[in-house]
Amino acid sequence: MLNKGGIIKIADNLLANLRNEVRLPSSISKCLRREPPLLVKNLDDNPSYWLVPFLSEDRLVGFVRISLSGGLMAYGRFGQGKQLSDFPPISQISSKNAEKEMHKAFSKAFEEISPPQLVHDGPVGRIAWLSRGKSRDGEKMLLFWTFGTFYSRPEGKESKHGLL
Amino acid sequence: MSFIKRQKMRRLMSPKLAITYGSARDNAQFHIYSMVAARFRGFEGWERTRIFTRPKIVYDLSGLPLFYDFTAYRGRKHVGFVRTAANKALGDPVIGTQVTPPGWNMNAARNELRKLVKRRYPRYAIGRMRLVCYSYPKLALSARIVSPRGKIETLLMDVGDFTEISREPGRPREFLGQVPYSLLNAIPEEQEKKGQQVWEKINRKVEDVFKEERELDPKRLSKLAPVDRLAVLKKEIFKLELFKIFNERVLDFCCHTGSCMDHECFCLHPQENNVHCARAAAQMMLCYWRYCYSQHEIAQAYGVNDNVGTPVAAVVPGLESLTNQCFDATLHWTVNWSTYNNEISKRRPLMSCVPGHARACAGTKQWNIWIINTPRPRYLYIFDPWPPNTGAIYWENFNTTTYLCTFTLERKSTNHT
Repeated sequence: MLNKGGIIKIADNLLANLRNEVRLPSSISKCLRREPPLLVKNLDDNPSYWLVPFLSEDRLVGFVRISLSGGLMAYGRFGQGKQLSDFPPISQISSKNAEKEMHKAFSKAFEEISPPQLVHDGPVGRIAWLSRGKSRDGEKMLLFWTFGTFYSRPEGKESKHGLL
Repeated sequence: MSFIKRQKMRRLMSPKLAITYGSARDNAQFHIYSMVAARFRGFEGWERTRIFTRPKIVYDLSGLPLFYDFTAYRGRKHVGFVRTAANKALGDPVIGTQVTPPGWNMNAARNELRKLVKRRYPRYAIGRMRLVCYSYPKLALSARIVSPRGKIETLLMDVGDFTEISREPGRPREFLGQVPYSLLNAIPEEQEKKGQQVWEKINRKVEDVFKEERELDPKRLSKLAPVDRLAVLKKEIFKLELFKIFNERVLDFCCHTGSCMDHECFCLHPQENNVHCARAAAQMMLCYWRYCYSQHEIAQAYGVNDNVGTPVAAVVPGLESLTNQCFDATLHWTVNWSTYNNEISKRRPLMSCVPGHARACAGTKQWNIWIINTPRPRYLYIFDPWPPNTGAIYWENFNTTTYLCTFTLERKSTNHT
């Protein structure tokens, strides 16, 4: 597993690619700055990959996805907005904000809600904050919050249908 | 025992396959310019390097020159080298570049070889010494040693760990390690002529570039400050339509003579909840063809409720019904690069599915120059409907991603009702 320093180096080398290859408005691409990498886990709580966010002011603009061994998986932008206000706010990747939102959304219907962790729900691109909780009748639940959307399902029950 | 068949040796010795230092050096120089301009990893600061005029010759075990290694230096420091072909049968003029100093020292290797001869072959005289590639990419010093009675033998010693290498040809396809074999002998016969054609084609283009682009004259560039040199390289290299570091195609429909750089022709539609990915991906594809449907309407065409995912089998009939049977949708379980490349070059988006998730694909990119013995870099331009209500657009590494299937959508060529 590559250390954080190595991940940061790889992400920094890709800043020019992010500026030039995903058609960001030039006013935004000039002001990109890298944030510390976030470790994204899978639903079994195992480390899966590093997500390195790129911001402009307080907006989440781009990202680089790097495997644990340092392989480049993907690099790109969030959304297709032309103005900074079209991009999601940085609070979407804040664990403190995620905990607040989870509590707001789920505390009435569920209990024993754990602190949220950044995971991918199935495929690597489906990032979401995950908390585990219990329904009122004791069933173990997976509680998800991602970019303003909430959903939940009983633990261990995957969706029957193929594409989500 | 010889390392190369006699007939093959005669063919590869032909003067038509020999490469001059000058041509090799020009190719090495152009390669560095391209790597610096394309910001390849490892080439940071290489705009300040120079390469020696004369290369180090690495011989093949057949006795023919195999590579010309041009040492790159910055000030007095060796920073790496560019390995070029010394025989056109190898094909590409540039074999590779090491962006770190060599891990061995010629003087140390020579001294060790002398000690080895003294120890193992006392009273033998040492004649000519040569650098050979005995088991690509491993190098050895090959020395001609002469016994007191005049018997001539050849000694091979690895330059890295100073071990003596057997002079018996090995079987590199069966064993790993210090297995001596002739790289030139390993070139299939049909490849010899193709290699020559490839080398001559690329070399011609490099010669034309240096003739026409006077800004790239090494003597002229060496007089500029490094930051100006870098700016010139970036400008000149990317101006060349002949040499593209990578081929990129992204869907566009409003600018047929060029690429749409000020906007995206293909629209991102984020999914509206956590299960709408296949509807959002379809929405993007249909929007491109000017069919406007909501994700709810697409769910209905798939025959599913808004709060459940989409069965893979529902996508083809759903897409076809939404186009009033004017389009043929096809499910491809075998995912290969050529499908993506063909569809995008014909200006048709695809639905690219990974296990559990659907996205739209609106572009491809593949490298024309890459590090040897590694997979050719290939990327897909993905319009991902996740995260919900936001979506993402990114270049995804095709070589490292596991795909489930692909859906293509093609307009019917015959009249339909």
